[in-house]
Amino acid sequence: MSAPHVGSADATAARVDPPGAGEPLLAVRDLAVSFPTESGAIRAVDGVSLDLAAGELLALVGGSGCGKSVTALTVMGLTRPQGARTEGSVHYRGRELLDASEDELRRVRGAEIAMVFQDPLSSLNPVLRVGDQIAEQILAHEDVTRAQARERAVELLGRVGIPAAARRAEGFPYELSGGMRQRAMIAMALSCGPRLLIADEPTTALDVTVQAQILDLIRELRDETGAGVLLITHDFGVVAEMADRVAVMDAGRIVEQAPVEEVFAAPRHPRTRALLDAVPRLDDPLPARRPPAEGEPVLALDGLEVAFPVRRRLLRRDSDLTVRAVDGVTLAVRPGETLGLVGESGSGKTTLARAAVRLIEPTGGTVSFAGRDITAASRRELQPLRSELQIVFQDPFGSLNPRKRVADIVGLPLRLHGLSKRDSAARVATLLERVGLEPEHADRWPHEFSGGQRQRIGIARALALSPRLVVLDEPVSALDVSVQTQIVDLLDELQRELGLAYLFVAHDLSVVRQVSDRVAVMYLGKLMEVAPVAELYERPVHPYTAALLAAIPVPDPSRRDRRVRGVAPSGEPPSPTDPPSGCVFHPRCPRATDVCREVVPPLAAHSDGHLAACHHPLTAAS
Amino acid sequence: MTRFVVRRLAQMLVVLFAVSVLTFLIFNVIPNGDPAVRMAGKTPTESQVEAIRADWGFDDSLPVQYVTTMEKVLGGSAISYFSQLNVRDQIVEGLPRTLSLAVGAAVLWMLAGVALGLLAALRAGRLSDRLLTVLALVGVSLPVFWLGALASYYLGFKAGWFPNGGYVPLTEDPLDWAHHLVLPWTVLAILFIGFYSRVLRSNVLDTMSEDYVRTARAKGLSERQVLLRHVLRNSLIPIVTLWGLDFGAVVAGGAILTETVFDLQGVGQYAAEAVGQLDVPPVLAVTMFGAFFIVVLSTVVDIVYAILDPRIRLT
Repeated sequence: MSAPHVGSADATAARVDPPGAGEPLLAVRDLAVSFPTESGAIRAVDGVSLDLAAGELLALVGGSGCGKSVTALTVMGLTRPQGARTEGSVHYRGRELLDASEDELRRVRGAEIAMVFQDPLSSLNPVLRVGDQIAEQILAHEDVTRAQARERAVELLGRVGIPAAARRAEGFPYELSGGMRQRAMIAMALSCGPRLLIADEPTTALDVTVQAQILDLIRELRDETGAGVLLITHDFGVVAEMADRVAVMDAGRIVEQAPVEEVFAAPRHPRTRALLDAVPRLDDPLPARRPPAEGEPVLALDGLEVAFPVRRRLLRRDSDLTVRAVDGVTLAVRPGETLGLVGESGSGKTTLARAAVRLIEPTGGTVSFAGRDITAASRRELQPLRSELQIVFQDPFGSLNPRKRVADIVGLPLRLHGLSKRDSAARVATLLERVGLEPEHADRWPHEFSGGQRQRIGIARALALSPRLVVLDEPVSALDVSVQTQIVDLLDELQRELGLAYLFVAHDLSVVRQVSDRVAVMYLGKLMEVAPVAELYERPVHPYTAALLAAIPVPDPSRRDRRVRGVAPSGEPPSPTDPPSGCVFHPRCPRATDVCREVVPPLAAHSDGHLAACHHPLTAAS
Repeated sequence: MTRFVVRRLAQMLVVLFAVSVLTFLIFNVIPNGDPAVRMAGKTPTESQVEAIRADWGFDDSLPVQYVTTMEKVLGGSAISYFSQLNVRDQIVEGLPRTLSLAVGAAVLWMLAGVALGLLAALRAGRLSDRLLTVLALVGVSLPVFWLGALASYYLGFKAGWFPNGGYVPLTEDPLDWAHHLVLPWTVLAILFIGFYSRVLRSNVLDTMSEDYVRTARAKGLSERQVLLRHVLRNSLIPIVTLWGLDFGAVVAGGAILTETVFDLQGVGQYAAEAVGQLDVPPVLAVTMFGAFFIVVLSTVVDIVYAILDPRIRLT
């Protein structure tokens, strides 16, 4: 077994190796991985075989817990610290990695096989400088001086598209935006010119416009270096956009492996079909919805403003900074309708949702509930309204008290509103059945449930008092696609039966399209566009909305090239502490002119119920 | 960073002022009766009390009294009415002894605590880890006066390996200085070693499951580099804070028992004796000294912490 030494050749030079004697770069055979636990071994991977050639991009797809990440980590021997037991074989360029010594593996890791992880913030050491973290890897594999390694780090940062790379190299991870951090992680992975890049959900933690940029970068680098890429994802949109071949995993096994076109055109395994069907697509027919309800809005926001102080300086009181998380938003939710509210991280959508139910105090404007101004209502005055105005939170793990039984979590609002213990228990049982759980679940603890089940508990709690409006703050974003569909269906059913109105906050435009009657788009605290759902998705008027839509990966490989490139905005949202002048979107807008830099565009009507705040709207005429 | 340091130092001055006012109130104003009589000792004559009253200005308004008291305590003119010795001179004499004890013990408990904590974390769940857990518990449970007396009796008096208490200045004979201090250092450190090794063990175990440690391995760093640069460095940050505060507490009176058992004649022992005799001026002065020391040290700790962890918001 001769390990070809990877010298200190210029890592940035293109390298396209002829595959050694027709052998794939990576060949995994019958890989099984199990972890010892107190209650016996858990088999996470159960007989996985796959091949990856140089220059090829293989997507490994599956729901959470299917073993896709464990497979990737095991290739690099990174499950060893957890005491993983492995069987089968992992051949990398003729070498067996599974039983390689730690020292042999160490020379492969980072130098020949590099990895990019999901969450770039937690994957970078918070107290070391970005440049040093990259240099560290170069120093581990190549015979260079510290100064040379640092210089290379700066070069690499520049190459992955980080502006002012020299200054960024001196910075700490927390000083970079999410997209920049992931670029830095990619720079690190590239630093020693790997032949195989493993990217584990590299864009899942990122906004959709940033995701498009990172995916482009990965593809570019693959083309340039000829490295093989193993892309792990749950998102069939990303798969369609990126992959040459697809391997679908379920319960530790690969259930289907085929070229990308085949998988989408004719999925063979039922699991693949189920996963594909669960993906919300922008070209799905819109679900039939009832005509918009008339009447007085349940919730009306008028010029709502929420500002947070950021820092006080010792001697300069006048320079106190505030973040205007929500900056003058006027919106209404009508009885029985769903208003979708979308925006990237930092757009203020969650703040708005919380201010709407007075969990955060507005600093300006008014909030009216059922025609009554509740902006300044006291706690006592709000108490009776709370039963009609409920909220479901994003994180089904963090938002349920782990030390309370389900009966107490769901029953607390009932008890607070004066129901007896017995009546409340009966109502809890009905509610649990209503959301698709068993009445017996009332005696269990939150940790005994899966993410989807917990979100059902959260919904049951919100429904306990028969509200008229439920604010749903990213209710499905922490869930697997197939579970997302179930929760969305449940919400839909409940709305029809109980006549609920929803304010549905999400960053995922495809999900919002499925559930909403009308959609509002926010950016940096401002409302950019509001329109009925079909209008907004088919005829967006604001360039920002158009850009968001263009950035969504289309789950259809045949339309990969038809995606209009260049429409997805470059760069990332600016800091909300220092928003741009005029139209806040102008620095990223392809249509921006001088007037956009100076004048804040007002929200203007473009057709019936279609409002947008733009000086250069994308109307049929333009 | 500069702004942060300046701001933190300004805060420190405010706290120091508050501490001095509180101390003044606690000793001179809040207790019932005549402060001059309390200060004069057990059997004062009328004229002694009058002299003290005039000297400390107890007939003046409270703000004037406060200023007089601070002048006497900080300016070094306060004297003990028992021994007639100048209080500041006594503290200055005791300080090198207390610092010698505290610095040595702090270095010892930090090194040993980190070493044992790291070892326990690396062997987590195995026999050696459990053994270290038991040892740490025993160490934390041993009272200083008991352990000190035992060590002093068996290793000092019986075996004769160490001098039987006392102190030799460092400048006079460094070897003899250390020889006199080995037992006090060890006895004082044992409690902290037990505590620190447990804290470090759990920090290291937490850090090892961090994503960035997995990244460090994925980069191809050696296990040693992963451990030192990524695991230990991040695990040590909270320990450094703890260390600064504990060191401050030991200097400011936390080593009274150790000093007394080994008869080191440090500041703590001086305070303990003054308390025993109800000798107010030394107690007042030592309290102020201790409080000041802790306030200054916690400021230093904050600044060091901000240097070690750049995420600390510098506001």
